[in-house]
Amino acid sequence: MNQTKKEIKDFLISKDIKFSSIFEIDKLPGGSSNETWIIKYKNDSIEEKIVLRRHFQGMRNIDNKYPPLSLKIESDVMKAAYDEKIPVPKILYRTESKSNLGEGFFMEFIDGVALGNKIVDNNFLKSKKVNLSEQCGYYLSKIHKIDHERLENIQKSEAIDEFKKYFEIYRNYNLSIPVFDFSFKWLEKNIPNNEKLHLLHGDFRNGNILMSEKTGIKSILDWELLHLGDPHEDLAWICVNSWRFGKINKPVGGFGEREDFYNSYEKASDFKINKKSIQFWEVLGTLKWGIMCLKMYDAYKSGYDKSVDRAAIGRRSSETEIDLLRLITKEFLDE
Amino acid sequence: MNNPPSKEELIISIINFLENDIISELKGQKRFHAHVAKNSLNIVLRQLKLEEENNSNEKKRLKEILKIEGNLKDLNQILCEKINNEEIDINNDKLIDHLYKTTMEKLSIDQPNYSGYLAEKE
Repeated sequence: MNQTKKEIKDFLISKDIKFSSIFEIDKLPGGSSNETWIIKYKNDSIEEKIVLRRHFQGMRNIDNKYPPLSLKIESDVMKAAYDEKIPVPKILYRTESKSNLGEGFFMEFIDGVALGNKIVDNNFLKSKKVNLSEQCGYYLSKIHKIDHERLENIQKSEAIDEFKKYFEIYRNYNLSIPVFDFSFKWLEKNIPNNEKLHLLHGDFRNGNILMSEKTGIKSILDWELLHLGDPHEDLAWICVNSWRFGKINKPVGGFGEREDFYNSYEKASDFKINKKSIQFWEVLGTLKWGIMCLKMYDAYKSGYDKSVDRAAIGRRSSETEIDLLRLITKEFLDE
Repeated sequence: MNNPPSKEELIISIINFLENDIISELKGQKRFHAHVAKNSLNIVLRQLKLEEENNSNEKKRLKEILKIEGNLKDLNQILCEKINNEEIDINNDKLIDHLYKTTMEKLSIDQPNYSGYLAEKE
């Protein structure tokens, strides 16, 4: 057993003697700023699992300007969400930055499907009573209603901040992609008025929501981009075509209709959704994904990650170009 | 001039090798990477076929909009600058037409199965 696995086991045993039965510890592949570990143990001869999430060790500071969110804050917010009966994994133990394991937390393991292309399959849901768009609208409104005043150190990022952030990243790549410049110019001219600040998930999309084919949403994952901002940002992100997994005619995550999603959100909150703001955030969200593709390619170019998919993903940025043009010049015209 | 096979034939032989002999042998991340490798070769194959005509169309339109000569890279850079400093209005029909055409040409190489590309083609 290597050193980290030993440290994980020692830490857990110090919390609860049942963890002496740990028989397998694996690190999941992937993850850019955080590591995820799955720990298996036996409880009365029944196999159980818990999950460790901690900062990437031996942190390479390639992106000092936008460091990953502290896992202390991430777990504070997840705990607040759990207390509001939002489906998220329960936080079990935290580890301090000065400890052997570094900053992180252990959480319960929840079973379900998170693979976007499986969820958009017409045969995924086994019950006609379940409406995933309505569930998304309902739980998103509950996230936005979390009282963020009592949570500490959460960054604010409104429309103008997000616009500037991504414009700067694009500029630094020194590329000339006319559709991107065209879209940034359109965004600059259509920046919405500031809304009252709400707590946003920041990455609420198909792929980050664990689903069950019988009951729908089981758990909302990947909170590392959470911040305070305009609720339209979250409402638009899940509708960006890149997250529809090929099902372009199902605007909500490739599985549902806008009406169901918006109506259920508005019904559960006092918030009135503004279509112009949705358009702004859908354009910015699409552009964001296009720039993230270039950013991932940059990891290849810089020699940091020489894998075949980091090289290829740069070419996926052109997918967002057609979506951007359609969003700006066609899709929202008759609304 | 080189003896056969052509560069296209060489690439196709690797695509077939990956598809028929390699991918089924692999699991997990390596299998995924082998898929990506196959897709990348398909992009190169399409680019060999379409790039010349696409680029010449793009250049022709850029020269018309910008009224200057230059290579494709410089012309695109100038277009970006003019969009940025608003010398060209983003509501300009010629600009929008050019952006659509160029994007569709790019996608015909990068991702001709992409849902947004197929929807626009209809």
